[in-house]
Formats: sequence, structure tokens, C-alpha cells
Amino acid sequence: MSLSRQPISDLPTHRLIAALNRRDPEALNAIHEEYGAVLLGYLGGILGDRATAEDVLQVTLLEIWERGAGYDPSRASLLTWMMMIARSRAIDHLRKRLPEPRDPLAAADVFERERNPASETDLLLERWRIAQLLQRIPAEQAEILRLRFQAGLSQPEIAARIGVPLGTVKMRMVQALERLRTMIDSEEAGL
Amino acid sequence: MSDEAELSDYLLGELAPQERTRFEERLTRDASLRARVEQLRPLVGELQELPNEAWALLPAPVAPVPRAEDGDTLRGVPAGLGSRRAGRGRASALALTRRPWLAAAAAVLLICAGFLGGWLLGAGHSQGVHATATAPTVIALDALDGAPKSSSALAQMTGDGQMVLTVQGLAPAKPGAYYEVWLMTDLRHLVPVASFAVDADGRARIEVPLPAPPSDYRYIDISLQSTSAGTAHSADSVLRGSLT
Repeated sequence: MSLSRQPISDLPTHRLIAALNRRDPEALNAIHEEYGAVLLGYLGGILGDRATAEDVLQVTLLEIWERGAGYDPSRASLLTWMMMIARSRAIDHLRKRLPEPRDPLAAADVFERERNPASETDLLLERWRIAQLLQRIPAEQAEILRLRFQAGLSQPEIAARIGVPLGTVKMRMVQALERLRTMIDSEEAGL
Repeated sequence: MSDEAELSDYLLGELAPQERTRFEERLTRDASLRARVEQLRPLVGELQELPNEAWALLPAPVAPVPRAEDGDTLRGVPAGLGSRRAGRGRASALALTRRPWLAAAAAVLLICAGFLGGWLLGAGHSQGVHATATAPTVIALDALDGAPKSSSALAQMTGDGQMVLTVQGLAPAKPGAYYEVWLMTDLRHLVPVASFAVDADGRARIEVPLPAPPSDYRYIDISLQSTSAGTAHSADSVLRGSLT
């Protein structure tokens, strides 16, 4: 079996978990392909710069690999489990960073994060978890959400932009939100 | 206006004040509709807070998703390939073409850097000349017999001919010894990549240009080397991951 040679969109999560459990080296590659960008974005949000985030991502992937054989999908979804590992390694890194007082402003910022790292990283974790799930809803629904929430277009403006009736945009908007909500709930339940 | 349209307008704040009041009155009577609103409203708030980088992960609306080609499957490690206790004498006949003084100097330099700085950067940051298109992106290296069981490494091909190697759990090398990373098929077909040391916690991070296409080899191998035994592979491998 060669997991990484398959399109990620077609790779069932249960197969990926099974491969991770038996420490199939290709599972790590598949995880990097499917979740790497989200983990990197999440770590970048916590750590503040891409280079550091990339370093911590390496350590995170290594820990995912190390602990993969013992991962139990009934306790947490794969995404949540991996993000919790990333969160722990990021907080470790922030704590190590504290004694470096070279830049007073950066040190103050790190100190602020350190004062309450859990709440801030948890907020980011939730957002990047949604970002990962967004990639799994139908493209036309995701595009409607992107035009609304990233580009800031109103529904009539979206209708004009993509050339579909306003009623269709509104219907797709609700479908997209409800689909995403269902995926989040399932993900939280570890399904 | 349909329920869906009205719900969408309400969640997105696009209802006129009068319509909004009417819709909210309806919510007090319609438990099912109220439940949908309560379920979706927090999500709308979350989506409004998503960073741009998160949206950038979405595929372009009309672009097809790139698909990898079918290819090789996993292969086992061949018998007799560089096990940790395979003996050092064998390696002496497999001298590599590198200059010994250069390798020794680099090893000493890197070992010193490892002791001083913990995580160490390897042999420079120049651009590599070999693409890594057909090799896996991320390779896990597992402990071989004799290495600490908790040791492991992760090699990431960055696509520009560079490799980032993250190592954990290895015992710090004793004086006169160092670790070497190799691209390797067997002890006759291999190329050294970089020498390194681990910090007191057994960790190292190395970013190096690849000297050859990794797809030409079957493994990434890490061996424990002695500065007094030449630059050939010591046959004392501690970690290895498959490139195929």
C-alpha cells in the first residue's frame, strides 16, 4: 500500500489512522500532505513567525510519528489529537523563549502569551480546526463562505460575482454552514 | 422569502430592521428554527475571525486538485544492511571519495557547535542542486537494534534540494565520535549528507542541501562514526528510514 500516492481527498481517515497505528512510514507523509498546512498555520499563529513554526512543526510531526502506534480514535479525532500535540510543543517553545530578553517588545508579547497560553492557543486551535474542515466541504460551498467571510462580500455581491441567482447563494450559504457545523460536531465527537 | 433565505440573511446581518424584528418574533415561536440559529450563529462568528492564511488553504474554485501518480510501494530493509553491531572493520574497505581532513574538520566543528548551542545547523544553507520530486516529502527514521528505543528522526525534503532533519532521543556522541547522515542503498551505494552532534537532550536539527537526488537511494541512514576511523560508513547505523 502506498498512502501518499493517493489523492488526499480520497484517502479515508480510518485508513490513515490504521497506517499510523502500525507505523507505516507513508502515513507520516500523508499526514504532512493533508494536515501540514493547517498545523503550520496554527503554529504560526501561536509562535508569531514562520521559521519557528516550521521548526516546531518538525518536532510535532516527529511526536505524531512516535506516538502514532498508541493513538486511539475513540478518545479524540485525529485532527484534534495532532493539534493538541502541536499546541503542547508550541507552548514548550514559548516557555523556552521567555529567558531571551533581547527585544523588550517581543519579550513582553511572549510574556503575555505565557500568562495565559492555554486560552489563546485553544482559540487558535478551534479556528484552525475549522480551517481544516473547510477544505472538506464541497468547493462551491467553501467558495461562498470565502467570498463572504474573507472577501467581505454581501450575498447580492456574491451572486453577481459568481453568476448565480441570489436565492441560490442564500441556500448554499445555509447548506455550507450546516454542513460545516455537522462536521465540527462529528469531529468533536471523535467520529 | 424562503426559510433558508431568511435564515441566511439573519445570520449574516442582511435583514432590514423591520424584517429582523419579525424574524426574531418568529424565533420565539419556532423552536426548530431557533435551534438552527443557535447552532449556526457561533460558527458565523468563528468564520469571521478566521485568519487569511486559513482561507488561503482552500483550493482555487475551478482548479483541479493535483493528484500524485501511482508508484512504488514500501519495501523491507535488506538483510545485512548496516546493523548497529555489524562491525567496523567492514567499513574500512568502503572508503568514500571525500577528503578525510575536510570531513574530520567539519565533524569537529559541528560537534563543538552541538555542545555549545544545542540544536545544530549542519553543513551550510546554500541551495541544493537536486530536485526531490519523486521522493516522499517526509520520511520517518526509526531506531535500529542497539540504538535507544525512544530515538527517532524526521527528514523533510523541502522541494528546493534541501533537507531538514529533526532528531530526538539519540545519546550524545562520546569524544571522538559523531553522527553522520547518509543517502544510502547499501554499503556500496551511498553518499554522505552531513555530520552532526546532538545536544544534551539527544536532539538535533540540521538543514542541509542534498548532495544527490534522494530518489536514487533507498534509505536515509544515520550512523555513529569515529573521527579516527576514516570517513567511510562505520556500519554502525542507529536510525534509518525508507525513501521508497
